[in-house]
Amino acid sequence: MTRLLSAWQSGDAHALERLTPLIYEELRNRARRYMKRERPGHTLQATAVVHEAFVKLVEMNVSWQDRAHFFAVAARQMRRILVDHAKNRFREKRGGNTTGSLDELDALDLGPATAGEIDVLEVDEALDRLADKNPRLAEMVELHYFGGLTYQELSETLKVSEATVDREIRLAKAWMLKEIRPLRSREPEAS
Amino acid sequence: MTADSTGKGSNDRWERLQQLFSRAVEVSGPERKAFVEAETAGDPELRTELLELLACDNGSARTGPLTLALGAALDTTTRDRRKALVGRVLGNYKLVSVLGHGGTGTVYLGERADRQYSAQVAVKIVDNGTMQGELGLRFRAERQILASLNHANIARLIDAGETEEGNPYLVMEYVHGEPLDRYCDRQQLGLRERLQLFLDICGAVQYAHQNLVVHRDLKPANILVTAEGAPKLLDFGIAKLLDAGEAAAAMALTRMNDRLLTPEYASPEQILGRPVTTASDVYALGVVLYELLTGLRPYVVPASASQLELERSICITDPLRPSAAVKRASESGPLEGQSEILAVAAARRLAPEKLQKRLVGDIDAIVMRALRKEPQHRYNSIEQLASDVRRFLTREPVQARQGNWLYYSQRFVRRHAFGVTAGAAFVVFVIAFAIAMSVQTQRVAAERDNAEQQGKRAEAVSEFMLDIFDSAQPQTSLGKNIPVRDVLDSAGRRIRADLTQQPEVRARLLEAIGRSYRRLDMHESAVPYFEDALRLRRDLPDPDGSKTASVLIDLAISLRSIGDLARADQVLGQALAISQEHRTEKSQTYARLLLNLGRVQLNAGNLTEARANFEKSIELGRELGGSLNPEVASGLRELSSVFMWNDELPAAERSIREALQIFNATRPRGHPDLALAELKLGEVLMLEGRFNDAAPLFESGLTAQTQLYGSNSLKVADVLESLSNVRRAQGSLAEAEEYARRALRTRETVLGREDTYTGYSRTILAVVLAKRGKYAEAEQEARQSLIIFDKTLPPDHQYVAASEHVLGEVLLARGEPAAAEAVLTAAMNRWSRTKAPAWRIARSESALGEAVYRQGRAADAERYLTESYKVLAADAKADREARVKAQERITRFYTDRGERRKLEELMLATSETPKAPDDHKTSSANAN
Repeated sequence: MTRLLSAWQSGDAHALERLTPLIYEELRNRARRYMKRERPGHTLQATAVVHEAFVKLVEMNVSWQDRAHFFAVAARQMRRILVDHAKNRFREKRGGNTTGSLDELDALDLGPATAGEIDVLEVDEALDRLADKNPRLAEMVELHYFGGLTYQELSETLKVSEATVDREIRLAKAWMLKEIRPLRSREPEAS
Repeated sequence: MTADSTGKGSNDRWERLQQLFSRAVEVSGPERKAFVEAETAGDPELRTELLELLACDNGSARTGPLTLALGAALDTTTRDRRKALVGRVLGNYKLVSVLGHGGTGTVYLGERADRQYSAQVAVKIVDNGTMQGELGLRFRAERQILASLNHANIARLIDAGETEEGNPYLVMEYVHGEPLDRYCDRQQLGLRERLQLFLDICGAVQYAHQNLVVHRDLKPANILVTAEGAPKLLDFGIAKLLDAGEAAAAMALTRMNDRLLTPEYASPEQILGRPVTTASDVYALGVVLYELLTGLRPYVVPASASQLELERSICITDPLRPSAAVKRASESGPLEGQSEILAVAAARRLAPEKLQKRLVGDIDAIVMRALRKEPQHRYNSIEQLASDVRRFLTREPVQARQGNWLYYSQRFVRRHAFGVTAGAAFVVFVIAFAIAMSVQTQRVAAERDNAEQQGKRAEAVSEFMLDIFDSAQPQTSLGKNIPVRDVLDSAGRRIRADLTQQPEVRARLLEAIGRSYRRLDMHESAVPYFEDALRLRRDLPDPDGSKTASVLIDLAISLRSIGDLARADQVLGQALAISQEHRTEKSQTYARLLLNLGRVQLNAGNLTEARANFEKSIELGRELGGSLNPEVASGLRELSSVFMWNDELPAAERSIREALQIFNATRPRGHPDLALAELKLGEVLMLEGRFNDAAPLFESGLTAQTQLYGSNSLKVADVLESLSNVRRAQGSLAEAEEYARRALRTRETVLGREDTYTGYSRTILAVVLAKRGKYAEAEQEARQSLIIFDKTLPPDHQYVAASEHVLGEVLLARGEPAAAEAVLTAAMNRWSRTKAPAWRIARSESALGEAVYRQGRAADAERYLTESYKVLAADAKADREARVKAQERITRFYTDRGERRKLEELMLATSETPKAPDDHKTSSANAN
């Protein structure tokens, strides 16, 4: 894939065509990993969001140095889409009901914006705070959660051992949960 | 946030936090509390933060609130964005509301924006696939073809285009109707009426096929029936339209789209990503017909099963015939996800027995012909399928019944070329063949018999055969292979006793039976068959000696498997002599010979010779069969064992990965070779300390081995044990215990209570129990294992020492140092007598030191504790946990006695860190 990426950079228009489905599938597979709960339909819905992230990536016309860079951009893009959306949603709710009662009903139908205790905005803020403390670790977490990279891929991409990845992300997770739940019960993450 | 949130102080503090956190999570309970208190003395802020972090720790589990939050965000984002499109105008149509979400996108209800007509349309917006360049051209070309389809039973494609965002959309005729299955049930249509409706559907599909359009996604949900009772097919050719071409670039996308199809209706070729033709629609209509008539789906997997398992059964297993499925459902109740058979039958205005009766024979044959795995074996066209249905309706003989049983007997053999019932497959095939032959001769002899009678006899045979196949299906015999073994035993006995056959045929049959036993892991039974075959072969012509050499190799494999290495070696020696005599050293047989020679040497512990033979075999295999040669992969797999024994883990990993690559390309999913190679890779990774990578391999290995050998098999027990070890290393102790218990149960069932390996399982369980702090139970297990070993092993065996060591540690934990001293002394001496690695001796010695110390004998204790620690600290291969424990013990000893200086001296003397094979290990060793 890296070879195709550089072919594309150097002006081989055909490379894009060959590349598109590959990147797309790559991203989609990554998104799929979020759906560990395996609720049918989840995968499908991830598709649209990932697709959007991809389209934006293509439009941005950044130079693709390597896989790592690509993943970083993709993860950042994914994070922005999800967070922007959650913010808008939040604002609309706060701003009162502008579009009539039908939407209210639909909203009920759609279910709450969060599953479990926390939502993506809290994750986003906690990640920002983590970046203040330890930017490198925050980047790793972003790649893992928003870029969907596995520990093994992180280890290959960031050139550190997998044990290190495991150790550091484990702490980062605990740290973020601690930040998110200062007043909530101190239940560890359910496994 | 804490005070120092920036600068170098923050870095150091984080480092410190990371270090403490990582170490703290490795211990638990009071030990952790003590650790935290000791390490953070004088820094209450650090202590608070650390405790808070530990409270939020989730172990190594990877799904938790953070993941769930992101999943939910993905969900809502997607849904909201879809909803946001309502009100938008696409072409001439305005989107009015969301009708539903499909596999590839969202369907909206639309209406003419200019309100010229009141026509309603369905607008499908596709999520993925931008239509650029050539793809876009193809999209438009396909669209033209689809728009030209004009048939009363096909919903028309009206328009197509792209949204502003570049997503393709399709405008289709909006059909008011009900999905086929629901319509038929609600109207309580009988079988005849259902078949009539099915014929209308066939007509529509056939029309499309004549216009070179394949539907690709036929299923009841895509077939609506209008209030007037006319079927309408939706989404014709849409799947293809979205593929838009066969360009290499589109391949990934194509496959992806196919994957998003409802897998229950997808044909094997679609699942395997092979070319899709009209035959795929024949298959899908077969599934539709199956469901329409029986209310059941041909492939039933539990909801918990992954899509992969469903796909696997579609590609590999044969479904039950419709009548058999109904029979099964009425006898044993509905499976998970199935409808109640009484309700199903009632919706057809029949009783279940009556329904089953109506399906037996013709309908069974028609449906099964349409559902065949290989496209070329199905009906050649929809027209043929429809004709057979028509023949059934007019009581003419249907075509499908001809040749059905022969097809299934062949498939049976192919499917079971590996796996549980391989033996039976062969036998069944032999019997089938014999019967077929005898029927043929009878026919010739009885030419004056009238046609009807002949037909009946042939039919009786074919029904009989199909029943045999049914009963041998894993799903009906519930994975028990006992009946299969019975079949094999009796067939084997007959063949051995029957001396009337030609020697060549007899030899072949004997060899086949022997190999069947081997596949069932019954090597002891296989040996006499190979021996008989060998005797026959010696008198038969064999110009290049290859047939005799092959039997010799087969015999050697079985001998090696039952542990008779000496005879295996000798038999292979004979094969070698034959090959050299005939100068056939450049043959596959010779490569196989070298491979098995290596295996015998590996079992005998001659690593160097084994390695040389494996390498020669691999080289020869590559020369003869290219790099994608499963024999080469087998060699690589064995070679990796050699590397493992030599502790050359990177090389072991390289070999086994290469083997896996070849098997992946050459063996079907679920093949034992693949499973074995994955498990081996898991073992290597585990030795490398990469538990998180190893775990999924063992998990899938467990599924594979269970499918292959049934849950009560030693191979399954081996995997369970590995999983227990992995979980233990990952810190999931409850799961580790569960796996250890299952491994024990399995071995107990297969081997009996008093077998060495059952005892070994108990030792493993004892270790886990001790780790969990269940000392009483652990003691019991360890003692049990020692009682078993006492009966089954020579006293100086490493298993005995291992079990004694565990017992000693447990007794220490239970506060019985005197009893512990006795078993630990025994363990230590036994380790040395069995020439175990020094670190194992030291591990027991360190525990012994502790036992002695607790009894107040400080001088002895000091000697044991220091000596053992020196050994453990110097040996890179020593178990990390053992090293940590020994260090803790000596530290406590000197600290208690106020001899810090001595401790420091010892630490200084042993500070030369052991050289470990990779930096991952070093870092974790240094963390202690």
